[in-house]
Amino acid sequence: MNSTNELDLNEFFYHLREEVYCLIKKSPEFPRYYPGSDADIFCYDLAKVSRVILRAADRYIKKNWQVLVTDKESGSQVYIDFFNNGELDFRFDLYQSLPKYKNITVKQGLFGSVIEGAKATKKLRYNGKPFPIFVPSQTDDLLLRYVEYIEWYQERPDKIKHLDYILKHSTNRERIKLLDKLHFYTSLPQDVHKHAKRNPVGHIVMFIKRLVRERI
Amino acid sequence: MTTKKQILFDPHYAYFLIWGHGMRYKEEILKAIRAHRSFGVVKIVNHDAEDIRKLVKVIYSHDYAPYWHLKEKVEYLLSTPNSVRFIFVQCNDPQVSYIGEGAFRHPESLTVKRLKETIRNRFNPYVRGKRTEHHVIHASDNETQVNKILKYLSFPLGLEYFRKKPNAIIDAPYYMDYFHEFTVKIIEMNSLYCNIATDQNGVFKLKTVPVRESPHCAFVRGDKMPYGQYLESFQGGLLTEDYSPERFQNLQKKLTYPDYGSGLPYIIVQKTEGKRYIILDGVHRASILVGRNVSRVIVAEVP
Repeated sequence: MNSTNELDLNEFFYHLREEVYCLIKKSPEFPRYYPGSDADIFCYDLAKVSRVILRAADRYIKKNWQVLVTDKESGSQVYIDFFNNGELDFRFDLYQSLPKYKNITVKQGLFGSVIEGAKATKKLRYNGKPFPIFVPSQTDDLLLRYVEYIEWYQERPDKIKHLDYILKHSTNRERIKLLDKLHFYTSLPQDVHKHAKRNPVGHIVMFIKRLVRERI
Repeated sequence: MTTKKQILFDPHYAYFLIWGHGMRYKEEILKAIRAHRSFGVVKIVNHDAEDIRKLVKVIYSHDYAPYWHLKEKVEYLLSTPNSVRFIFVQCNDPQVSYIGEGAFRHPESLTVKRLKETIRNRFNPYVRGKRTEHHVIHASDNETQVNKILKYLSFPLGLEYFRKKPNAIIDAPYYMDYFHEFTVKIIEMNSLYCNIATDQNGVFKLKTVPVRESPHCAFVRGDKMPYGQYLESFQGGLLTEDYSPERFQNLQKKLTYPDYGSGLPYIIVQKTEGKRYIILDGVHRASILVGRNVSRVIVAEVP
């Protein structure tokens, strides 16, 4: 599948530069993207960030794009879907709180912690004007990958790649912080292994042991 | 229960009631309210009371003095016409203070009180050079009374009706139903229609016409009469928002569309049969754009 730059994502994030947000799981190809892909954004004010994106969408709408805005979950999540010729090209998936996880318990305080700990990337440029993009800190990036693995492993066993990523991309210091933050913000629901078709607990135990062992 | 946020940020609502014997001054009273810098008119509702006694009792039953105390004061109202007008307003500087003593002590907006007295001084009947107490208008003391009167007039949400935000992201007037989805798109101006109030042999109905055929568009093209007559006929009835030729003229001079300065004030539409779109909010703006020969317009379409 070819990536496409029908939408200039730099333009949207340039307009978001004054807002408080965190772009989760920034794609390595960014600002290029594949049709149908999305950008997950944590923010404190969904309505405000949505309005910034819609204002920036103006020139695309004038070129017959359609932008479908859907307010999910009574105000804690918004989809902003860009359609070109009837096809979904890109989605901004905005969150004002953590998603509801079924297979792992996460304290809501993690949401604010991720936003407050966000770091600015190396500056990109839009029309010659520099701007940063805000992404999770290394620890939060690893933690969110861990949460994603736990949440989706039963349906998507390929998500185990997140555990390998964590082990490969963390220093000793980062592993200490990751373990502390994991312990503080997450726990597995009591019955996760009672009903699981594939039991992630074994993987988790081995993963934690390896984290602890390899940091020494 | 009023929250701290509401006390700090939400506007204060009040109403003015023009009694039957003051209705001949209704336009001038409305002008006086509009001209006051602290007030914005939110809704105008004409009301034909079945029984003027009953209406008087409803209004004054929410007063802080007991009804028996007021009975003499309001006796004159019982022989006034039963067609009245409620003007609901937002006040950005209510100056609420506690008035009265003992059991009669209550919160009251001093700003509303002052304007009420100004209007009474101007329009109350005078006898031998002295203003009578046959008041042409009544005004609410505070929002509790506004809430109760709205419910009496069959707005069951009371004050929450005015405070309602149908959508958190784009600007939508309080009277719309809540919506959680909309599509921003550009459409042909020719596909825009609007609902216009009509009087068909004494029966008031809405008629769907292309926006180009609306009295609003006639106004923009320089023919001001149809719009003026339209407001005269239907304001307070089928048209309860605050429209006036002066406001429309001002808007015509200043309109930039879409103006992203504050909020997202799209023209809001709903698709009907064929490729028609009915305007739910924004007939005045659409008419101005027609007058400027704009052929395509960005709108927010709701389901």
